[in-house]
Amino acid sequence: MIFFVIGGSGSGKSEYAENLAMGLKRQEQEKLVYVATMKPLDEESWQRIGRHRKMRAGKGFETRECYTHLEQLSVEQNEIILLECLSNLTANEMFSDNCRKEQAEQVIKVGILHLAENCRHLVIVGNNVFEDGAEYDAMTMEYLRQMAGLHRFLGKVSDSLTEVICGIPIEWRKL
Amino acid sequence: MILITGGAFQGKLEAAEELFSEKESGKEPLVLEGTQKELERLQKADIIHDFHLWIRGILEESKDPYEMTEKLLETNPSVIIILNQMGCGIVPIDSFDRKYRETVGRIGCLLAQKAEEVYLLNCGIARRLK
Repeated sequence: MIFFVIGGSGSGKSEYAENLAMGLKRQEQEKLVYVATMKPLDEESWQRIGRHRKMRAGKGFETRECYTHLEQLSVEQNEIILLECLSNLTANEMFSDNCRKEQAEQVIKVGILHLAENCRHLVIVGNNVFEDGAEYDAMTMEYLRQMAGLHRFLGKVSDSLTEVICGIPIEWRKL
Repeated sequence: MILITGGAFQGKLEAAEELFSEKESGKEPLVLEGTQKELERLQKADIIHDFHLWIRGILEESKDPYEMTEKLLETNPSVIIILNQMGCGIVPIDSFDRKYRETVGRIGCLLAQKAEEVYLLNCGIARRLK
C-alpha cells in the first residue's frame, strides 16, 4: 500500500511518517528501510546525516541511498519503505548529474510504482510548498510544477494521504 | 456561487470542471481567466480561473476589488471561482505585493462567506469545507 504524508517545514511530518512506517511492521521478518534522498555536499550535511542515521537505526531502520533513478532501486517484498523526501528526489532528478530534467515527474512516477509493487508498504514524505503565492524564476516554477504533478499522482494512487500541521495529522484520504 | 481554493498546481480547475459537469451535465463550461479584465465578459463565465490575477489587475488600476467582486457576484451568482491560497509564505518586500497578497486572502474570506459551497484542493483531492 502507498501512504503519502505531506506538511510544511518543521510540521512534524518526518516523525509522523517514521511512526507510521514502524506501526505498519506486523511481523518479525518484515524490515524497515529508510530511502535517503539528500546528497551530502559538505561536512555539515555529513554530520547531520550521520546523526539522523543513528537516530533511525535506534528505531530499527536500515538506510539505503537513492539520489536519482528510483526505478532501479532494489527492494524486497518483506520491506516497509520510508522514502524521504519527494522534494529532494525531484530536485535531484531535475538539477543534478545524470538527471532526467523535464522527464523527472514521469520517471519518478515509474519509480514510485516500482517500489509499491515490489515492497510490502511504501510511505512517502512530501513538502507542501504550494501555498506561498510567490512567483519564482522559470526554473523554480518548473520544479514546482513537476513536483505538484507527483503530488496529484499520489493523490490518485495512494491508499492514504495525510497532511501534518503542528504535528497533528489531517486525513485527506483515510485508509 | 462556488469557491474552489488551494495551493498552486493542486488540480483546482479540474475539480471545477467536474463540479460543473455534475450540475450541468452535457454542457461545456465557459472558462475565463482572471487575466481577462472586462467585467462584462466575466459575468458570462461558468468558471473563473486564477481569480487572484483578476484582483491583481484591479489593484493595479487602483480600483476597489471588493466593490468589483460584489458587482460580479450580483450579475453572475452561480459562477465557480478558483482562487489560489497564497498567504503561507514570507511577507513580500514590495508594498504592492503585500497589499495584493492580503487582499487576495480577505476576498477569499468574503467569497467563502457568500458561497453555497467551498472546496479546498490538495494533491488533486477536493475536501468540502462548506
